[in-house]
Amino acid sequence: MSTVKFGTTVTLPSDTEIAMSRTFDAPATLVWDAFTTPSLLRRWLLGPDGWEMPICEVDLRVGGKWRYGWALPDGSGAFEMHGEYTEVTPHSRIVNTEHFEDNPPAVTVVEFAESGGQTTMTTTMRLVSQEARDAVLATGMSDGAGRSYERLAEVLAAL
Amino acid sequence: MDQLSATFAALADPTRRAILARLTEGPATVKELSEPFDISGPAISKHLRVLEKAGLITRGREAQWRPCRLDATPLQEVAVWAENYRRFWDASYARLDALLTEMKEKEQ
Repeated sequence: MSTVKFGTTVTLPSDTEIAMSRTFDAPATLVWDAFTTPSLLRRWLLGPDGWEMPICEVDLRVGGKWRYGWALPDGSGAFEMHGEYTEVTPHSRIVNTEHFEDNPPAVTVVEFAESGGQTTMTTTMRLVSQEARDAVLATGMSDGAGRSYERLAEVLAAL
Repeated sequence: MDQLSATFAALADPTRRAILARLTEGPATVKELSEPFDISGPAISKHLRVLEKAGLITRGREAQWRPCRLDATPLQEVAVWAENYRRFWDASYARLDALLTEMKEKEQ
């Protein structure tokens, strides 16, 4: 069976939000499981090859906490993020707070929309202000920004 | 504040990004930089001080007009960080594609 590949798109739904969307060739029930089960999360939410996810805690209920931590096999480069679930609607929607290092705190909404056996997962980060949103954007969340200094200069020139 | 945080903080303001965008075309005086904006000279000077402190611009010594120049060095650090972020999600989602294929096969 071949795997269909989809691109990731980034949009700005409002002054304080950034949305990232990606379609997967699987029903929402499976995408949901892969996104909420620690043993499955540890297999894909790893970034570039070579990273491991020694911390993966998911207490999937309103008021429950989550915590993800990554590191290289020798323990170096470790970083982590954490937050609390404020809404959990199975196979459809998760809302949680997100704290990552010095980034401004964010509220993240993850929506799973199934159509024709494929599922589009949309992650919307809501920041406290436009300034905070723009600070996160400046870090290159928008598609392709920061591929090189030249590209960043183009982005700055277009603002 | 570390260099990366200082750069992000400086880039977080739209007026400062517009100033940097202008400086990608070449050096400019404070007067030239303030022309497109409906804000006072002192307000522009304040933005320039933030950019200078973050190491994003340098200012000439000529007392009269002190031209501002873009210094790209801190932006390269941002670019490396951003590239890592993009790679993180691209690589993770590609792995999720493979995992979902495996999960579908198991269900059948």
